[in-house]
Amino acid sequence: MKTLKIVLVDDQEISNFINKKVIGLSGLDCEIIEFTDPVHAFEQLPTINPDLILLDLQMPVLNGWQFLDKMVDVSHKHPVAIITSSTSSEDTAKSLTYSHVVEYCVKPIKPEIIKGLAEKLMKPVV
Amino acid sequence: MTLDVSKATYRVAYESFSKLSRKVSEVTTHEKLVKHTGQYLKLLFNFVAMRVTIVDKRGHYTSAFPAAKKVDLPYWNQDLLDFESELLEKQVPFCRDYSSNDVFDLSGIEVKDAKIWGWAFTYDNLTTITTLIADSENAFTVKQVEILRLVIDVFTLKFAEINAKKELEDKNAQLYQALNLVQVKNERINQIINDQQLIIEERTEKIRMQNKQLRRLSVLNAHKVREPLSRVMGLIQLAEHVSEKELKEDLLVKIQTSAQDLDKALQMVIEKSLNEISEDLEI
Repeated sequence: MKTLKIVLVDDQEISNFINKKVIGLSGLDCEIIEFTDPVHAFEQLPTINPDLILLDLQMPVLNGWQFLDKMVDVSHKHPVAIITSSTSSEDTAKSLTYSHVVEYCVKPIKPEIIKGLAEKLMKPVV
Repeated sequence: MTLDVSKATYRVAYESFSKLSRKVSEVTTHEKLVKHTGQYLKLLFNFVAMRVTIVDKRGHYTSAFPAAKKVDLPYWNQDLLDFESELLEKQVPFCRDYSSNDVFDLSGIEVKDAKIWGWAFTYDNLTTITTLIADSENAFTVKQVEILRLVIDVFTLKFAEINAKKELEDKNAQLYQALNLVQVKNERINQIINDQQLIIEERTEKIRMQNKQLRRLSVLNAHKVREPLSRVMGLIQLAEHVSEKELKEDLLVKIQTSAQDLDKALQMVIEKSLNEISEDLEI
């Protein structure tokens, strides 16, 4: 089982802390890189080349949707799981319009969610 | 000889009556009716002066002949003379002798061996009281009653027709007025409806704006408020998985920070809600 490279993008440090802990509890072998600056995170994507991005929606300067749009513009195909505190159905619906968004998760997430994501990524893309 | 005279008289009378009928059929006003009738009367029967009073449900209308005699005496001015009221009441025709003095006082005409004749001719909705002063020179006879009757018939019917036409015209004018009024009211109603339509649109727009604001508020709630709460929940979930030391020194501090952020966020939302909603209550 290869090490999963996961990038965390959330403007709240505590959120990243929580997600990192939860990933640890899932028992998976992961390398975690966290960012509180979405602009910087986007710039680093080609360098890091993550297997999964956990992306928050509500961020200043560059929010989650804008981040996703930029990825589409330059054809970054890294799988994204939206991790957000928003329970609104509008947001859920919008997330479906992005082909590289694999999941919409409501905070706080549980270790099972991470396990499920890992399994999803293992499956070959149809 | 008497027969010839009588025949000639009859023919003159008949021709005159024909002319009268034709003339009367063309008139459209009471004045013309009285004028044209007056022109033929002397050709039809003998008399000195005559009054024709038509009585209908609304009142009575008197015409006196000959028209030239407009003297300020009862026969020319008074509405209903005594014997005419009597005729109206009893409907019994009469022929009475009158003294020259009485006739003069009544009409201002000098007569010899005066007689006054009176009839009440009844029709559908009216009665025509006819009275006639005759004397020895202008001797009215029973034979002439028939032609007098015919004249009164023609006169009365034309009179009634003119009245009916006038009534119709009046009713039409009233209807027209009413129609105009209805039209004016209609326009006013339409105006009011239009004004109300505008007011409704205005208010609908206001409500639309209000809704927009409320929606924005909800979105705000969805994100800003739930974010710090989800942090608190996430940290609490981790509590059982960390050491007591880490819990005390790290987790609890983070929980407190997040709780404070939540408090701030809620306060901001409450303040915004109160501001935005109270602003728009004036419609």
